[in-house]
Amino acid sequence: MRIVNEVRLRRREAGLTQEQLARLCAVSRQTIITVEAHTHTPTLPLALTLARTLGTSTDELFKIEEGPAN
Amino acid sequence: MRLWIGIVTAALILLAVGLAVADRLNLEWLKYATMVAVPFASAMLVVFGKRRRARLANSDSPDSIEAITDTTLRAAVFLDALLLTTLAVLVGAVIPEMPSWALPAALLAGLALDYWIRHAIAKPRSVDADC
Repeated sequence: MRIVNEVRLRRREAGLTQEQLARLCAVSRQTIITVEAHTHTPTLPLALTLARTLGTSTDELFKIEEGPAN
Repeated sequence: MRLWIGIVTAALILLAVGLAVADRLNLEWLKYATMVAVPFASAMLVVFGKRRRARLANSDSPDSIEAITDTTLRAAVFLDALLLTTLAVLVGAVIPEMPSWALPAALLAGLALDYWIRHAIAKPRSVDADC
């Protein structure tokens, strides 16, 4: 199971840079970079803040990508 | 990272010089003073330096990846500290003629190195950056 997200797409649609989004969410730019690269799953408060800042819902922003069944 | 390396290097040099001088002049109090003052001062410098930089970059926020990584690393180093301390006690018992300052110094250096290696491995890389 892997969490994927549309943070990069939504951020670009909103016309924000990673630095600006990071400041709006009160996290480091590195956090935004790793979330967009799908190498870090954000905490629930950050997921909610990202969704609110990007004008969307967490359901739309984050998806569970099912892996092959074992 | 550079600040951290600089402080630790300076601390190790000061520690070595202080202990060497104390050993040569046979000043027992200087050994203990060096063992306490140098690690304490360097730890304070590292802590305040890190806090200042973290505040500026928002990496001290509990939701930032740096804070999460730091907590995970501290937990891992705590387990290593338990193992290394046990090992140091065993070495002290097996080699009683070893200088009293050598084991705590080795333990401190070992734990600092442990954290540094784990940090270097776990540090989130600035890949995929795009402003």
